[in-house]
Amino acid sequence: MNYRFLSKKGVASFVTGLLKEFRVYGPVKKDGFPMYGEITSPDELHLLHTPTHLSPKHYLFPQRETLLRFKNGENHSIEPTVEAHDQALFGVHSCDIHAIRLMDMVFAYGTPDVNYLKRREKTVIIGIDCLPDKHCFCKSVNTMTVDSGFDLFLHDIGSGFVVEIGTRKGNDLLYKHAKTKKATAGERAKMAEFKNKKAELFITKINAEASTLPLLYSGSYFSPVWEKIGKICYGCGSCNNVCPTCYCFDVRDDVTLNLTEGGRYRVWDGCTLEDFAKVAGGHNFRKTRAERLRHRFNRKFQYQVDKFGGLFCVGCGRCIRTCLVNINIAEVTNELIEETNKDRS
Amino acid sequence: MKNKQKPKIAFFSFTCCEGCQLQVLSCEDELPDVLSLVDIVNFREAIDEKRDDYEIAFIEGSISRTQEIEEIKKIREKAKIVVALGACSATGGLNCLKNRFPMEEAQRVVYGNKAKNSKLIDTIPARPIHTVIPVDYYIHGCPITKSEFLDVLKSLLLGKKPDIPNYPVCVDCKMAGNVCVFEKGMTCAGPITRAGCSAICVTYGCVCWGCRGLVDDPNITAHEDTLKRYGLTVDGVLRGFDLYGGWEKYKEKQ
Amino acid sequence: MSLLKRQIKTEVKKMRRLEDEKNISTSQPLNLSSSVFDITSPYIPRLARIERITRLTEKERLFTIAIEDGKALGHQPGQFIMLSIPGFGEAPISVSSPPDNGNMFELCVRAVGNLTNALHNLSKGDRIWIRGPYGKGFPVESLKGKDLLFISGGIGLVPMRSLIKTVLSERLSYGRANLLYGVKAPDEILFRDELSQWERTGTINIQITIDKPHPAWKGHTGVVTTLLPPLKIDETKTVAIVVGPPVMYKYVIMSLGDKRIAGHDIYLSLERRMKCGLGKCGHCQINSVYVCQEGPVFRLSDIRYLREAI
Ligand SMILES: Cc1cc2nc3c(=O)[nH]c(=O)nc-3n(C[C@H](O)[C@H](O)[C@H](O)COP(=O)(O)OP(=O)(O)OC[C@H]3O[C@@H](n4cnc5c(N)ncnc54)[C@H](O)[C@@H]3O)c2cc1C
Ligand code: SF4
Ligand code: SF4
Ligand code: SF4
Ligand code: SF4
Ligand code: SF4
Ligand code: FES
Repeated sequence: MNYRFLSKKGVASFVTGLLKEFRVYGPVKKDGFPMYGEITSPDELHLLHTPTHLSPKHYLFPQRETLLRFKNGENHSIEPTVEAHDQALFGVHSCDIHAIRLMDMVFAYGTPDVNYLKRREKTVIIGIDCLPDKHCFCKSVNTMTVDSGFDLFLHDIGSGFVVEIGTRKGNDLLYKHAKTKKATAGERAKMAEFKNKKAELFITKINAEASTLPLLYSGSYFSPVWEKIGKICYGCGSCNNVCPTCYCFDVRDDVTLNLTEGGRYRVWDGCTLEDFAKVAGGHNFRKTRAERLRHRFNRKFQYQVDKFGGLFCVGCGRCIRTCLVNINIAEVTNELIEETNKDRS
Repeated sequence: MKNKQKPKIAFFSFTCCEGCQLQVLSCEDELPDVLSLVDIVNFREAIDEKRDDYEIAFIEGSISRTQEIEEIKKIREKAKIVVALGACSATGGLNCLKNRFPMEEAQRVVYGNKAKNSKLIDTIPARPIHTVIPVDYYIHGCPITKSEFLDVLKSLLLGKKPDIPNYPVCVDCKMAGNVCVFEKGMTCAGPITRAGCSAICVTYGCVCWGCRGLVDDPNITAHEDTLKRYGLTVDGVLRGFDLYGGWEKYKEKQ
Repeated sequence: MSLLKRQIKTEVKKMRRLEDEKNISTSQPLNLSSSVFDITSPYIPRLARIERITRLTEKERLFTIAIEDGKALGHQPGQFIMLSIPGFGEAPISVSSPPDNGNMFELCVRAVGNLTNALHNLSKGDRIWIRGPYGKGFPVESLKGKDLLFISGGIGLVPMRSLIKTVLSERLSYGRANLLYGVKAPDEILFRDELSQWERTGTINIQITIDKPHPAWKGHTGVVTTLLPPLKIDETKTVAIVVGPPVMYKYVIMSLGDKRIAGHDIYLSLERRMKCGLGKCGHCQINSVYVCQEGPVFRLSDIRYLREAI
């Protein structure tokens, strides 16, 4: 691994350099809250921060994206569309980098999804150290640190940043746009200091080893917890929409006013929404909110793990923050742990 | 499409501010295209000519006088498809606010003391049109959005069932990238209100008032609890529901 | 399952490796043409035309489809395609004809919504779009030498027809064959002519039942499970193939249990909402399984542990 030192001031000129090549998205303040946004100058960035309310997934997997355009009738045509531009995600947190790696896997396995992968390919990811808010629990699901999946990672050491170089692409960008020097052993030691301090700050925790969670969930299918949280859930889909690893979508057609031209697009969908698993004839395979929440939680801790081999909850805590009825995925997991322990004793 | 006769559509207006018709009229850029697809045979706001051979009737406004009941029944007989246009028509809308008062009082407040016993301006509890005639499709919103009107029109012309969302405004709101207003200490009807408006009110710095009516299966109890938790009193909570949920409330009481 | 898991793992590994190579070889933002993912979008359909339309019942029609590029669909019985008409969306539809080298195949479609109604409004020569075939079909090879018990409800006969016709084209490779078919009313019976033809040739024993008594019906009444108890079968060599509406499975499986047919000798085709056919959109998911990938045909013993399958 190659580590470079970048001064706090140096960050600004680095971002200015990036802005010449890329559309740059990073954490900004919106109505006073941390959110991702496109920036036009480094001053807009808010770097050392708690997680953004919405995840950056929409830069790779937009809320709505056209898959193809068509013309009907005599001049029949089908034209695939890929809306991708060179972009840099600046200031991505460890949890979100883990999430992006999971999304890469999802869209690459089996039949590769060109729309996602093309966009991913044109994306530079620059990670940064962060501080947990009261909902973060990345430490409990082993996503508090990250060793790949980024082009560059900025470790905060107070006096500046130690930049960890993840890829050749990142390396070249850093040399092109920033003045750095080799990080000293002392500076590198400070990276660990930050990490240790951060590890102390978590309020939300899961009270079991991450590796035991798939089994825990598998054994908790009939737990009364699902009814309990199902009763208070709105089925509003906010937890799906803010989650960096929720990727379900719907596919729909749209026509222009001449009724012969149009497009097929995909749009975010969510498994907590009422109609998600409804088929013709009205049969709904997950009719109740309890069933739908159980599905969502299991997707994070069991189902997708079976398929892809890693937990699909990266502990960002966003679904906890967004839920107006305080359904807390970490607390629910702790309840399941408690139930299971009680059953055993 | 080419050889077929253009479908005829008509617009009708009952008790309302006619704001939804204005939204339709504001489709200036699209109007030429629309007119190449359909004939508008009845539209008080826009054209003088009036014909009764329409296939699709867009009806705005709620029903709040006995006379209107007869009128709207006639429209239903003639039209193949009836579309409720806007909140007043689809859910009763703001008009239902008056249902909170005894009818005589509403009459007096609106028309003065002379109005008592007058047949012409008798007033009945305001109600959405589906309580009087069968309605095929609904375009929600107060006012409706132009794009949803055009989407529904396109669907009907293609012979499709219009795609009216059955998920809450929160979905639109998250997709629009908003900070939830609850974070800012305000309250919002978004979690139980039918989406489709792109959460425009939140996007422009306000909160959702629920103008598009409820989703099919709203969790009202959860919402009452949420509102209380965010500092509203029981009374305040109920008033919150009244603004656009007036007809539902009135129906429950009867 | 485990095979599939291994497959995924190698896929993912492959992808990782490609990514690593990419990172080494490219210094500038990648340009599109050098992309390792420079393959066509899986959402792009193939063009096809309607060759023939046959009315089967009030709501169901049989469409003979010809693929425009002249190539065969290349499907297995039980697989499905994503059918679409631009402007009306896409839907999963089972291929109803047996595998064939030509560019033609058949779909039997019930008009229930936007796309399916629009399809019913099309005429001969009109164009449609198809993607696929997708999913896993019936295990034709391993059925050889077995007695076959086909149990189908309503529109479930559609994918089953592809298998039955495959079996009939090589009739001697299989043992005895029974078809139990349940519908709501006599006028909902699909493929009447073919059924009576199969019956006449004596190659397959067919019993049809109608849910409730009907003036125009002299045959058996009652749900499809009522046909099972009197049926004589050899449980040691019988494989049951079951396709029908969601509510049917539970009862049929119980009745098959009474007949001592083991879970690994029962195949089902499950319906779910499907939006991509590619294992991405999440709609078809049952617990950890994507029906569009690992199904729609499943062996009962493989999905017994899936709590939401049946
Ligand atoms: C593997 C598989 C094979 C099938 N094979 C056949 C077949 O051979 N013949 C046949 O007639 N039908 C078949 N179906 C069912 C068929 O896919 C649905 O009837 C069709 O999707 C309805 O689409 P629509 O646009 O006409 O209806 P829509 O207007 O989309 O909706 C009508 C109703 O169908 C539901 N729905 C929407 N999308 C789907 C979907 N993708 N799957 C199921 N329900 C949906 C909606 O919730 C609504 O209740 C199959 C389904 C599956 C999963
Ligand atoms: S969950 Fe962990 S990595 Fe993510 S923002 Fe919070 S502290 Fe940072
Ligand atoms: S858990 Fe919370 S955020 Fe998720 S759907 Fe239910 S109410 Fe909405
Ligand atoms: S489930 Fe919740 S905590 Fe886990 S990754 Fe998704 S939003 Fe973050
Ligand atoms: S602001 Fe309103 S609509 Fe938006 S997410 Fe919050 S509650 Fe939902
Ligand atoms: S945000 Fe709420 S009040 Fe505003 S248009 Fe949408 S439904 Fe109506
Ligand atoms: S249909 Fe999309 S995942 Fe199966």
